[in-house]
Amino acid sequence: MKKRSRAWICVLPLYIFTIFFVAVPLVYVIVLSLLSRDVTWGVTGKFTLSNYARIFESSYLNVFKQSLTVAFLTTLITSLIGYPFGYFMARLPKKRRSIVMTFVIVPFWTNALVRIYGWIILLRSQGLLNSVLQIIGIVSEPLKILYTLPAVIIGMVYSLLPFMIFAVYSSAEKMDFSLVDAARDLGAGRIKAFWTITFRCTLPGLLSGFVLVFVPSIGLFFISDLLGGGKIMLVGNLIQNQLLTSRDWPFGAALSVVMMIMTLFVIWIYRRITRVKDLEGLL
Amino acid sequence: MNKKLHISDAYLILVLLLMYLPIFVVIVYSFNGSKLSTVWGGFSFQWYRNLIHNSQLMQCLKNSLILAFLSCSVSAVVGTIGAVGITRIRWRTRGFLESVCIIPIMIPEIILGMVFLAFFSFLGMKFGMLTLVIAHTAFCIPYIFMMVKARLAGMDSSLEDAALDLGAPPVRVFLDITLPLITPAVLSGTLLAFAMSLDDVVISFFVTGPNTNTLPVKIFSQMKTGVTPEINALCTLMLAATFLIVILSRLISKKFK
Amino acid sequence: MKQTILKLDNINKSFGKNQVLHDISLDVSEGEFITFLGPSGCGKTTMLRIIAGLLEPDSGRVFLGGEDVTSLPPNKRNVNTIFQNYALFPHMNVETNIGYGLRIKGVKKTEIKKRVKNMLSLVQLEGFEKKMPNELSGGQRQRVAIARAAINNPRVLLLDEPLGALDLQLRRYMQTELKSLQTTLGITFIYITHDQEEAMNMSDRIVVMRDGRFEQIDTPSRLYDYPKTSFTASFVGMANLINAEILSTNGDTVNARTSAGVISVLINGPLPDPDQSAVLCIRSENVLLSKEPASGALAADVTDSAYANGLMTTHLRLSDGTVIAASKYGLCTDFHAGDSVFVSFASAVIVDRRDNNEKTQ
Repeated sequence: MKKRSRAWICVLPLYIFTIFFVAVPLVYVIVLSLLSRDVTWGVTGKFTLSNYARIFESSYLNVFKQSLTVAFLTTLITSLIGYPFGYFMARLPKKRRSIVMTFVIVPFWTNALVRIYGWIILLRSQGLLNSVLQIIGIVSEPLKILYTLPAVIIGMVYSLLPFMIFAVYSSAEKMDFSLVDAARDLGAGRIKAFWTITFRCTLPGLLSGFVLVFVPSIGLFFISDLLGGGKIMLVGNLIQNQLLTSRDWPFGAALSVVMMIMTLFVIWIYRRITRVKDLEGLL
Repeated sequence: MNKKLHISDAYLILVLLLMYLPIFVVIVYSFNGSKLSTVWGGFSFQWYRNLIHNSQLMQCLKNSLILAFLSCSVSAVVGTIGAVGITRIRWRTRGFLESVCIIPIMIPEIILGMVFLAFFSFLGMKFGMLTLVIAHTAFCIPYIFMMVKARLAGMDSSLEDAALDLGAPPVRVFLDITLPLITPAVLSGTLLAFAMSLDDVVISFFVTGPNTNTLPVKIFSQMKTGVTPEINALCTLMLAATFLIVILSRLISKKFK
Repeated sequence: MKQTILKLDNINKSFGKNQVLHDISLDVSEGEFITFLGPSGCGKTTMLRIIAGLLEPDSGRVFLGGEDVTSLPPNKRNVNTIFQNYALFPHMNVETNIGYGLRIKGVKKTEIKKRVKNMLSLVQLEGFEKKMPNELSGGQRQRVAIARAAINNPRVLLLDEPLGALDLQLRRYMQTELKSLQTTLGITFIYITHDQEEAMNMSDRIVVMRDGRFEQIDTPSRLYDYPKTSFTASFVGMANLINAEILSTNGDTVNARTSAGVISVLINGPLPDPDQSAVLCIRSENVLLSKEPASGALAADVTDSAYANGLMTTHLRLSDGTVIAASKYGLCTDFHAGDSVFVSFASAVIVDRRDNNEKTQ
């Protein structure tokens, strides 16, 4: 029809941009990961799988292990904090809900570094947290939190919590709460009704939250840089090192490809479970 | 509703307080008269004054704003007309295009940064504003594209039919009906993209040139070497700007609801 | 005979493998109120969209006032549509909504204002110019939609289940309203509904549709009295359909054997051939009940009876298990559930005649 014949002009810029600046670069990185490194820092055209083989060296495997541990812990803690938050928020009266929403969005849109910087001030050994703890008398010596794993996890949880909240909120908001009443009416207790109805209905949001938190937490190198003081090595830091310090691009590319595959795998599992194409509450 | 404070309300407030704690700390310290962050040296605007005279930081701020403005304008146009167009074509590659075009916000940022770094070097492009704009456009488009697409999916298609039926040619249908109805989505998508662009450290870190440091990249490097209290002041200002943007976007979405 | 304003000629339309319209042909005359009646999915909305130009048929032609408009886009056709949900532009007020068509045509602002005002008084919405669509009730939106379409003086006005979203009372009221509006405007109305009551109340002619084909085209009364198929008979009014074998004919009366016994009944319309099987359509008001046996009457048990809208409806089970309905005006308490009664039939129509079947199948 006439309407359709002009639509292709509209999608053309999107097609061109996406193919040239997203698809082609991605393919290039995959190709790069299969090439060997030149003696200096360039790349030679020789095909090799050694970049992938190197990942299985124990020092690199450990980085992956540590990265996954951080990601799992981050996901677990954000869901423990974020799930009730998103759920309670959805149950608020409309006006208050919108206020709380605004309050959640502000830090989310605020520069991540600003917020991380606040944590550095707080967690320092002469920082606010330690001062308070010492004044109350819980600890006598200042606690060393900054530049440890807990600090990195605090930073990750803090940065990624809004994703979890939005995801849970958006599925809880869509939920028909009269279903809970119906379940109660049919004889289910409070806990049973929550488990069989509410939890089931909000599960897509929770799962989406898992993905939205888990995926970036593997890659947020600047949080482990700043709060881990360079002592906590994550895959993100490894890639950054390979690119900018060691200048071993093919290996960096191989690491990226593996990470990308891990990401797509997580999203694929999510889609298999929920049968939803888009992630809940992404926007 | 009764006025009693429920456990759920208390929980919401507690988590929000924790969320704002580091932000408050930054704001308070930006008014600290002492150079040492461990000591309270009295209330002072000193760091704000220093900030204005710090031409390096100001240049970075300018870079960041130019970058966000350019990449959001391009993304708003490409993303919006792309979303409108994609609902009307029936090409086989449609689903593929949609998946690929949102990849930039699905994969960890560092991969996108790495991909662009490698690709731009391969092309022999000079790192600077152009590479920054391309990279930022890549992750700004999906936000706008998805918001507009969601809005279009929720829009009653018979509205466009009705306008055609009343004699409007397709271009007028778009200008009179479709565009005004998707405007809120375009605006809030663009604002979100703007905030994300201003916020981005990871991707800019990889594709920035020697003279085009963005503010977040500059702050990042300063934070690693040693922080001057001016950063506190700068962060506070950025916070205020973000707050304004958020309020603005909430107002927009409210007005059109 | 009035002039033909709209002519559909052998229209076919498929969506993928699914053919939704089969060889549709129809002439609509000027000023006619014609209704397409059928269950959802019968293709009536598709046909409307083809007339409006929002869809193009796979084959066949559409003529408007003698001109072939088949491949003309909707914005170039002098036809307007009232959509199922009214499709009022949510970002424009009542005045701008109604004036939209004129504005597209480039009519002067003052002229538009005047004509909108006239139109608003015609649909009894004076003073509503500045209201937004979301501030209006269902009935008011409906009127704005009508005004927005009618102001362009279309040659044909298409209405796609416009009363579907209203409650029963408002629906009844709007039926008379629409009909009188149509008379005032003198525009041809093509109306789509699945509600037989609406169709019967407003239409000059009704087109019964089923699976993308026309089942029957007739005036409401003929449709009721002389349905040609069992589908039409049961879709329009309450009908009892009984399979029978014709034994003999005697004038207009036939003797027929049903599985519940032999009956004798007066046939309206064409008579069946003897020694043939036929489907008898007997309207519920033509089912007569009596407590006394009579020749040609069948024994039956009353299963239940109900009184609604001034009509007493009694359900009966014949000896072979067939359930039929009998109705009578006024409250009647003669028959109760469990009673044994005798049933005779005042008149019947033969439906699904073979020559018909060949045409429609």
